[in-house]
Amino acid sequence: MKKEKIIILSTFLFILVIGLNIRFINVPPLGKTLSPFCGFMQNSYESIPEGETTLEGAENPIKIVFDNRLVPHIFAQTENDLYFAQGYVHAKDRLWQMDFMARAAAGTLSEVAGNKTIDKDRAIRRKGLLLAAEKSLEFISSKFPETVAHLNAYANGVNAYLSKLSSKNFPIEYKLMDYAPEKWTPLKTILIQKYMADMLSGFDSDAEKTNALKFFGKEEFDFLYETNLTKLAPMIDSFPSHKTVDHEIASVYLNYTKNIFHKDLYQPAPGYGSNTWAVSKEKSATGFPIFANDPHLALTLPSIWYEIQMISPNGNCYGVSIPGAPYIIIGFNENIAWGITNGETDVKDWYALKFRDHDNEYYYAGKWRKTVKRIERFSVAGYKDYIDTVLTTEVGPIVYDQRFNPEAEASINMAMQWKGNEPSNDFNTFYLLNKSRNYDDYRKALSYFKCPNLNFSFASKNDIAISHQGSILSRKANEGDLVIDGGLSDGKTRKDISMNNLPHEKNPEKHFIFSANQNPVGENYPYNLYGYYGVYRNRTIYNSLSSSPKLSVSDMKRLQNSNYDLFASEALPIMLKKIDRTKLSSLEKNFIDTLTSWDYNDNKDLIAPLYFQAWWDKFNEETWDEITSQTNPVLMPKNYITLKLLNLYPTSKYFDLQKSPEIETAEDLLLHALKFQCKEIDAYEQENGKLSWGLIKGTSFNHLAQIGAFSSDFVNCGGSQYTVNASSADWGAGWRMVVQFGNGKPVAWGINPGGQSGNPGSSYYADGIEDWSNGNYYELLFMKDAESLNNNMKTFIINSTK
Amino acid sequence: MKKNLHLTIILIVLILSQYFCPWWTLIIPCIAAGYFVSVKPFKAFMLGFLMPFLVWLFAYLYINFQNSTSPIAAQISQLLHIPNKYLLYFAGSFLIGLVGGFSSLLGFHINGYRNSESN
Repeated sequence: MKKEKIIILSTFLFILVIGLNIRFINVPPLGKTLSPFCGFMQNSYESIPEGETTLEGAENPIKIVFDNRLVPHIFAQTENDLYFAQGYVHAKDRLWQMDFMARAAAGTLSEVAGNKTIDKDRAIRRKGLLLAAEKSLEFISSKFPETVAHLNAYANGVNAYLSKLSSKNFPIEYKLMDYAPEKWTPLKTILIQKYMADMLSGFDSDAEKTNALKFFGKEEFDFLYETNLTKLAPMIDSFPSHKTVDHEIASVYLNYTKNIFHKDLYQPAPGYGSNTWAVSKEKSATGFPIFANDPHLALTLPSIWYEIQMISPNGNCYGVSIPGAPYIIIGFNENIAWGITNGETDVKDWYALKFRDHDNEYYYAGKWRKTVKRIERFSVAGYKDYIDTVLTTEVGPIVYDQRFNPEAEASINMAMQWKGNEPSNDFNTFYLLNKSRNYDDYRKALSYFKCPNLNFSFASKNDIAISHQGSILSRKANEGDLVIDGGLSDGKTRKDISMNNLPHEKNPEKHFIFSANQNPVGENYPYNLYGYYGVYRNRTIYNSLSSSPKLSVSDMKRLQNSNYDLFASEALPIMLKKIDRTKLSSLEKNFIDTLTSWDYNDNKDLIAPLYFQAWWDKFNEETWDEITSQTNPVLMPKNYITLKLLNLYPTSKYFDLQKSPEIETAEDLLLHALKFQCKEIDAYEQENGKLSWGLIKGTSFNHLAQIGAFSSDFVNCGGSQYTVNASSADWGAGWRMVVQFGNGKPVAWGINPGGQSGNPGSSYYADGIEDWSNGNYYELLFMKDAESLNNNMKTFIINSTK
Repeated sequence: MKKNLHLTIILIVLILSQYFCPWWTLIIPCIAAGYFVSVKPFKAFMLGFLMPFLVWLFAYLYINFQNSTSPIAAQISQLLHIPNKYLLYFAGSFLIGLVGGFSSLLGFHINGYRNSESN
C-alpha cells in the first residue's frame, strides 16, 4: 500500500515537473518562466553597464558613454574596436531581435515560432537568401580584408557579451519560446543585409500586370497602365548621357499569354516609402545647408533602428544602425550628412519556365536544361518537421510552383532573377560614408553599393547632392515589368548601367535635392528605367521647397510631419462636381458639406479624411469589379488613371457594373458609393461612438514575434499613403532626422519612436512613441570628446585582455 | 529542536537552490522536509507547499519594489490572461507551492515506508 503511494506520487511529481519545464506550442515552460529568480521578473532590471569589464577581443581600452536615452557614445582607439563595441551594445540591447532577424533571413523562424511562420520560411529559402549571403561572404573574404576584419570584430563584440550572459538574463522572448541565443558570425550579418535588401526590393507586380495584359488586351492595357504622371517632379529633371543605348523593344516579354496564379504573400506595402531632401545655403535661413531624411519601414518593436555615436581617430559619426550589422546606415559626421530612400527601380525579374520529367528539366532560351533540386528541411516548434523540395535553374531559384501555390499551373514554374543574388560588398559603402569628408568621398563610397536600388542624399557645409544607385540592368524598352517567357528569351545577360550613367546631381539650380521614391529622372535620359514610382509625396515636397525663398529647421520638421493629402486635393473637387445634391438625404448632405469644407489635411482628429478615403475606395472597388471578380490576380490601375477616367470619360464601360443589367455611369457609381459609405459609417458610429481619422487608421507598433503584450497600444496620429508623413496601421517613419550645418560641427535632431531598448520591461522600450506622434524631436547629442559628461550619463569601460 | 534545525537548513538549501540551480531542484529540500520533519500527511503537504510559496512570493514582491516602473509583470499577466500582476505573483507562487507540497508528501511517505520496513 505504501509502496504504491510512493510510486504514484513519484510519477505524478515527475510528470508535473516535466510539464512545467517544457513548452506547449504557445504556452511557455511555466516553471522557469515564472520563477522570480530566473524568469520574467529578472527582465525588470535595466541593462545599463557601469564601471569596467575585461573582454576578449578588444584591442585597446574602449569607453562607452550612455546618455539619458540610452544612446551609446563609443570612444575607441581603432576602427576594429569601434565595431567590437558596436557588436557589444547591439547585443546588450537587441540580442533577441538580431537573432530573430537572422533566423527570418535563414528561413528557420518556425523552429522557434511554430507553425504560423512556415510559409514565410519556405518563401525565404526558395528565394535562396542563404546561398546569396554565402556567395557574398566568399566575395568579401577574397577581395576586402578590411571589411572581413570589421565583420569579425563586430561578431566578437556580440559573442563577448554572450560569453558573460547567464540564462536568467536572457531576453524575455528566449524564455517564452524556450530557446537560447547562438553565437554570432559574419554570415549572420550578411544574412540580415540580404533580408533588408529583399524587403526593400520586394515589391513587384510582374505577375499581376501580365494577367492584366491578357485580360484587357494591348490597346486598353497601354491606356490603363500609362505612367505619365510619374514625369512630374522627378528626383532629377534631366540627365543626358552620350551613351548609345538599345531602344529595341523586348517583344518576347509581351508574348506571355498564360494566366499566372502565384501570389507573393510577403510583399511590403507600396506607397508608404521614405523621404529625403536638403536645401543649399542659398535656400537656407541660416546660410548653411539643412538636411532631412525620414526612412519609412514597418513600425516594429524593437525598432529596426538603433541610435549610436562612434568616435575613433579616423572619424566621429552619429546616426542609426541596424542591429546585426556594423556601421552607421543613416547619419552625419563632422563634415557631411547622408540619407536613404528606396530607389524603387525594378531589380527583380520573373521568368516563367516550362518543366518536364517530374521537374527534372526546364526549357530556357531555346534549350532543355537540367534542374538542380534541393531538399529543405524545416523544424517546427511543437510539430513534426516539414519538407520542401526547392528547384534551381540557371536563371535563378524557382520560388513559385504548384508545391507552394496549389492553384498555379502544373509544370510552369516561376524563377526569380534578383540582383541581390549577385555577390557584392555593400557594407563598404556605409564604412566609407561614415568617414566621408566631401562630395567626392561620398561618390566613391556609393560605387560599392549594388543591391537594393537606393537613392542616397547628401549634404555638407558647401554642397548638396543626390544619386540613384545600385546594380540596374541596361534594359530594352518595355522590359522587366511583365513576367518573361523563359523559353522565348534570348538568354543573353544584360549589363548594368554604369554608375556615372545613373541619374545623380550636385548643387542643382533649384537649390534643393529631394526624393520621395519617385521617378529618378524626368527628361533626356537614354536608358529605360522601370520601377514602382510614387506620384504624391514628391509633388508635395517639391511644391513646399520651391515655393519658399528660405527654409529653416522648423520648416523641415513641419514638412516631415505634413499631413497634406495631395491626392484628395486632386480627386475630391472632381468627385464633388459630379454629385447632384438633390439626390441626397440630409445625412448625405452633411457628409458632402464636411468634405467641401475640408482643408485636405489627413489630421488625426478630423472625420473628413475617413469620408474621402471610404468614398474613393468604394468607388474604385466598384469601378474595377471586372478585376476583383477574377480568380487570378490582376493589377488594379493606379488611382490617377481611375481619376482620369472619372474626369474625362465618365461614360466609360469600366463604370458599368458587371453584375447589374442596367448600364451605370461614373456618376451612378459615385452616388452609390457615397450613399453606401455614409450609411456604413453612420451605423458604425451609432454603435461604437464618434470616429476620427486617427482612430480608424489605428496605427500601432507590433512586436516582431507578434506578441500582443509587447506591442504598443493604439497610437493616435495623422497621415496616410498620400501624405509626406506617410502612415498606415503598421507602417511609418521609424526614424526622422534633420541636420543643420554651420561654422562649427553640425547640430541635429532626431526621433526613433521604438526607443533604444529591445527589452519590453525596460523604460527605454517604446519610450519615443508619444513624442513621435506629436511631431516632436530630440536634440541629438553629438559629442566631441568623452569629457563633456553630465550627471545623466553612465560611463562603461571595456578593457583589453592584451 | 532537532526538527527546527532541520527545517532551517532545508529552508536555506531551498533558497540557495532557487538562486543557483534550475527551479525544479527545490523538490530535493521539499522531499527532505517531508521525510525529516512531518508527522501527518496533510501537514507534510502544507509544509512543502508553504516554504516555496512564501519564498517565491517574497522574491516577486521584492523585485517588484526594486523595479516598480517596469511593465514586464503586467505584460506577462496580459500574455497569460491573468487580470493583474499581483494575481500573477500569487499564481506563480501557488504553482511552485504545489510542486513543493507533493514533493514533501512524497518525502513523508518514503519515511513511512522505511519505518514500516524496519518493523
